[in-house]
Amino acid sequence: MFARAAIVASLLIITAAGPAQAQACAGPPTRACVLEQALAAARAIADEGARAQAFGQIAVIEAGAGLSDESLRLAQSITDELWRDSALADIVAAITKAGKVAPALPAARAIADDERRSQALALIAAAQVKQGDLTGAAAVVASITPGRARNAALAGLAEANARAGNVAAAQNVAGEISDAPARAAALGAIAVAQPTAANIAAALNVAAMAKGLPFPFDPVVGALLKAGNKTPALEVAQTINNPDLRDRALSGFASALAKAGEIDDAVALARSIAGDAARAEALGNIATIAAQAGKVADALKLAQSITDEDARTTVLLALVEAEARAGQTAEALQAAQLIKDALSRAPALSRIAAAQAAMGNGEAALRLAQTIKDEYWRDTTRAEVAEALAKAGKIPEATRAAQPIKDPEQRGNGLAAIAAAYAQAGKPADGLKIMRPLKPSRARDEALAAIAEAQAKAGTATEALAVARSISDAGRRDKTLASLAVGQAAAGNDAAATTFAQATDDEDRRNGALADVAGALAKAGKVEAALAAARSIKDEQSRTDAVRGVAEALAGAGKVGEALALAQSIQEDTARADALSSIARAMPE
Amino acid sequence: MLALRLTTIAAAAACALAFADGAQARGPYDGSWTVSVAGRSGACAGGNYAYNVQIVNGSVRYNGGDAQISGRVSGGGAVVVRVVSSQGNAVGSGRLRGNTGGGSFRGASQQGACAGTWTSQRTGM
Repeated sequence: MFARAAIVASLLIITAAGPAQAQACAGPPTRACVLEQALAAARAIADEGARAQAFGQIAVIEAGAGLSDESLRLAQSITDELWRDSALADIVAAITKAGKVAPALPAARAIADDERRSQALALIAAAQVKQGDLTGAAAVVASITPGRARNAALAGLAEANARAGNVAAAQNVAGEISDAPARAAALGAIAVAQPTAANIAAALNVAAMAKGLPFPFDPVVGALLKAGNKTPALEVAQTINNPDLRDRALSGFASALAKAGEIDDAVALARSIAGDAARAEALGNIATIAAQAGKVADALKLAQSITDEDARTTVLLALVEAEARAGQTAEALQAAQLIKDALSRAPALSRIAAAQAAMGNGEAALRLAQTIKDEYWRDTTRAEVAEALAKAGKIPEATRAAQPIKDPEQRGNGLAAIAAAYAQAGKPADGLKIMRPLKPSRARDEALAAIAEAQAKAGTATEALAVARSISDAGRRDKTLASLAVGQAAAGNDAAATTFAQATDDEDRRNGALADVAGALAKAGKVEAALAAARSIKDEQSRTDAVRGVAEALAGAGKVGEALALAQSIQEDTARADALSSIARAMPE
Repeated sequence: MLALRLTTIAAAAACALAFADGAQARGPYDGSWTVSVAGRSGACAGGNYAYNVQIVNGSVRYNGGDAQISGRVSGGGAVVVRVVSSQGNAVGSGRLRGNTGGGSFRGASQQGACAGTWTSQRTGM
């Protein structure tokens, strides 16, 4: 009751004279009734383009609500062709998304623009394919004008036929496709369904014409292994004339074999690759796959067999990274020790130390960091160890890791992480103490943001505001203030929320923050405060948008009557229609 | 796309470092560099991209803000670089060859593994 009274009071302020309104809903407002009101508001819009746009928006909501006939009628009543097509295309998307193909067809066929109509029909055909109606999809695809949309639809149809075992039909459909990527997808699906040498060769040849060699290596190899004969695939790849494409195809098959567990065959195939770089890359791919499968010894042996030192280093570094990420620090160390050059080994040891720290083994991490001779990498490692320990809440250990860092930037990164950890632990004052001597940097700003968030959550908004204001980068400062504002609004602290939002320097960001605050306050039930926040926005358009946002939030929270009253209070016809549409969209089912 | 971005950042950083004399202030390779990255296998296969990277006092500076980059180059020109972000990781290595550089990179993210090569050219001081 208070909320309704607040709305009424606010209306007196917002509206000098109430706009023309549709008849009020009898009883509790339904979506149909709200849409009627939106339509009435839309009809009052003088500008033809804006009116058409509003009609389109309402038509799409009607379609989404299952009112297909009404939706189509409304869209077709739009006189401007561009907006009519746009509305019809949106209607098709909304209806097909709901799995209703039949009512989408007349909407698609009514689209005047050739390309948009084709896209809409392709969307319908894709939905039919998804539903298993391949005959219906074929009929729809046949009606699409030749071009990109038709090719994509044909590819989808061919793939579905291939998956269903209708290989001949799939081949017929694929034959109609006029661009390489779509035809490659279709022929690839056929090669999976029926992995003969001829089908694989056909798919590979077309894939070679498309960027990235789009060929389904893994499923084709899976199908070959299932059929008990992988020889055709290997032979076909060797017949590709272009040396680069041949190497890439062989590499793709080698990786697929490795993923299927056929490591020996994969390695043999990779070793047959003529290009040095491509061969090293293929062997590296197999090593990575073997490591992922837990065959670490095989992976390391394979990595060591790569003759090019740089390529070998890259592979070993990648193995270290993968093992460290998986928490397998012993295996990661094995890989790191195989990197002969000390400077190249340093980042590997650094990564392992960080992983050890993240796992809570700070002592081991610090010992490992100490073994790194290069000062840059040692400092980097200590900073990362400090950060990992700080994130794990081990503040004394993190401080011990950060103290010896010589590089000011790395030291700053480590200390900033510790400061943020203090904030997380509910000790923002300790965090601030650490921050004082640090020079402006991203890490410092992020730590200050974390401290401000912690202070705001603890209810010390004044301190939080001061800390947030001390963030050096204007963008990061405004982002933090906006985030704090919305957080406070969601908690129902309207005064603090508005203060944070108003402290935002950039006008656009401030408008956005106030609009977000208004929406969050409305959701939190603070309608009057939400409206006050919305009204405080200086830019007229942003203010109207914010009021609409409040109405939408009220509708989403089930307070449709209050939302309607607020929307109807908007004087400008387009914004009012927009707000009413938004309410209809946001209304609970 | 994320895998591609991470790994291509790694390649860009590796290449930039190839021109950086990391042990000295204001090395002869400080400045702006364009790095061309070619994804060859995995999530970035077929992708060709170019990045601008700054080298300052032998350290690579990438202002993208979506990743942390660390890396060094040896006196002999061997390069290693590591890229870490909350959503993935990548490593790159290579070698200095006069005024041009080249090498390989590898990365992993939720989109899958990715591998490829990089080359580079200086564009300004």
